[in-house]
Amino acid sequence: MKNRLKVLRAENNWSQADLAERLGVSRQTVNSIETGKYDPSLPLAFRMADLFGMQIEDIFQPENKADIDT
Amino acid sequence: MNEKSRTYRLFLLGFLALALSFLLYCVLLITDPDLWLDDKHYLLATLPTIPPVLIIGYALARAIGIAIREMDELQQRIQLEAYSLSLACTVVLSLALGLFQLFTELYINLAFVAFMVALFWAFGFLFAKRKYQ
Repeated sequence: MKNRLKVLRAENNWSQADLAERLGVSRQTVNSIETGKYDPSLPLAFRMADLFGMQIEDIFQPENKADIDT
Repeated sequence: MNEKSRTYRLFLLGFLALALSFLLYCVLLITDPDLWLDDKHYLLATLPTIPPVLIIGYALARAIGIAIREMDELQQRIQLEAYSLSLACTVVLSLALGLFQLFTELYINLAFVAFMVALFWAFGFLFAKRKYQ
């Protein structure tokens, strides 16, 4: 899954540690999500969306849209 | 009182009870030096250590539960993967050693299974941590 977390974080001038603290997770978790190595759970994705004031689908997009269309 | 404090108190209670039971055991050994020679008396003398060990075991299980609940979801996944690897490797190695022991004259002490679990957990933890870095 692709995500815009790094861009959104940069727009808010937050470090990974800042974002991690706001989300109540470790810095490693934020890093793993940003690099696409780990997909967050739905509750964490909702917390992220709430933090940035966006919808989940505005932050996370499927790797290949054709995968969900089929 | 929160769950952490209750767990610390349980640990304290368990270790105090264990110390008391060892004291009792020493008194029994001093008053009756033949205790070492009799299997039944030896078993009876060690009986008081069982409840404290159970209390400590329960406190340990609670402490592990608290530690897991305090982790975030990625840390929990890393631990799950580490324990899964540890379990799988230990089962395979234990079975292999068991079969080896069955078909050969060699006696292998399986007391080091706990050490194997810890060793495989450490490998699994490093592997999973690296995977998500």
